[in-house]
Amino acid sequence: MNGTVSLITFFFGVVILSACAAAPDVDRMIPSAPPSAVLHSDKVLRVGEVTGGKETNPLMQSMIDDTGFRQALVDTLQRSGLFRSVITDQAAADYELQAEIVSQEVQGIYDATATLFVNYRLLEVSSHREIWKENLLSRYMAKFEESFIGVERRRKANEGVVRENLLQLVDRLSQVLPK
Amino acid sequence: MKLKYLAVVLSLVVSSCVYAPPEPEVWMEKGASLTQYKAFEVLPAQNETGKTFGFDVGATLTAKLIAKLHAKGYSVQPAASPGEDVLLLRSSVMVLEEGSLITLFPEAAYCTVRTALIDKKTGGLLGEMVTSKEFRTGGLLEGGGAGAIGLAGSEPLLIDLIAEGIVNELEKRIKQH
Repeated sequence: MNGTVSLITFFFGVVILSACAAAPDVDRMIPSAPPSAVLHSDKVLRVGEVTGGKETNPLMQSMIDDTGFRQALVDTLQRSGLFRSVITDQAAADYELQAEIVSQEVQGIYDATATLFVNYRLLEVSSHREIWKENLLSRYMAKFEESFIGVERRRKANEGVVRENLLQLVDRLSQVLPK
Repeated sequence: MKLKYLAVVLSLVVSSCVYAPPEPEVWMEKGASLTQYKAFEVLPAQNETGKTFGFDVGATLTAKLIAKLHAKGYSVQPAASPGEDVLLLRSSVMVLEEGSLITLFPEAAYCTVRTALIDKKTGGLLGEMVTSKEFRTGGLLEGGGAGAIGLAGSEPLLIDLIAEGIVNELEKRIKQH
């Protein structure tokens, strides 16, 4: 009898824990495929402030927060080879990139579709001149087959939508950076 | 008996939520304001979902935006008076998913629209908004309202509510002091 109760308690414990929302994983927010057109420059980029993200409430749903998004942004730009180095501190840099998460949404029950809308600004540090700004909107659908657990699927949708957004960013930067 | 009344009240409350127009998420250029605009030009909206539907998604959104602007008393080009500041609206339907009313696996219907706000005179981008709406068709609590939507086809109604949300937001910002 005691064994049955323990088993039922364990089962419900697993169900409850698996139903808790988690923030997207930074490593999974970094695009694995290198962007097609990459410009290599000798410039140093500082990744500045990221704003507009939201913290994940375990009882609600997975959200993209500022810290995780910034880390994914830094790692992606480092791997892109667009710049000689990508820094996050106040050391000397040629450019500064700022990002504001304007909107993030996950919709759907079985196939979860995430949309992410981010405003990016690239400044020349020496002149404080804005050399590029653009709003990038990305979409990603996490199919039911990706995970049978709803909160997990929503997290995967968020990770995918960040990857798509960062791919767009690298692609745009490779076009707009002075050659 | 009391339960019956409670169910009716609950159904009305939930239905009013289902039909409520969404509030767009807005990004505005620093220092930009919409207070001087009373006239609009609505560019043909694009379907950027990568899918085709049983109706013209772009044309439906364009028509709904024009109708809702007219209904609020704004002039829409080419009827705008000369010299008026004209705000261009350029919209794209980015996501549109059809809901399913199969009771065992009801799927949500949802839509996301991106709208750029452009000053016609300068061509400068003043702001952008992203507007999303979702119907959880057949869900336990939304069964009443969403069931009726599903029977009529939820996508045009989603677009109608999104157009209303966009125009409401524009009006709010135009009347801002």
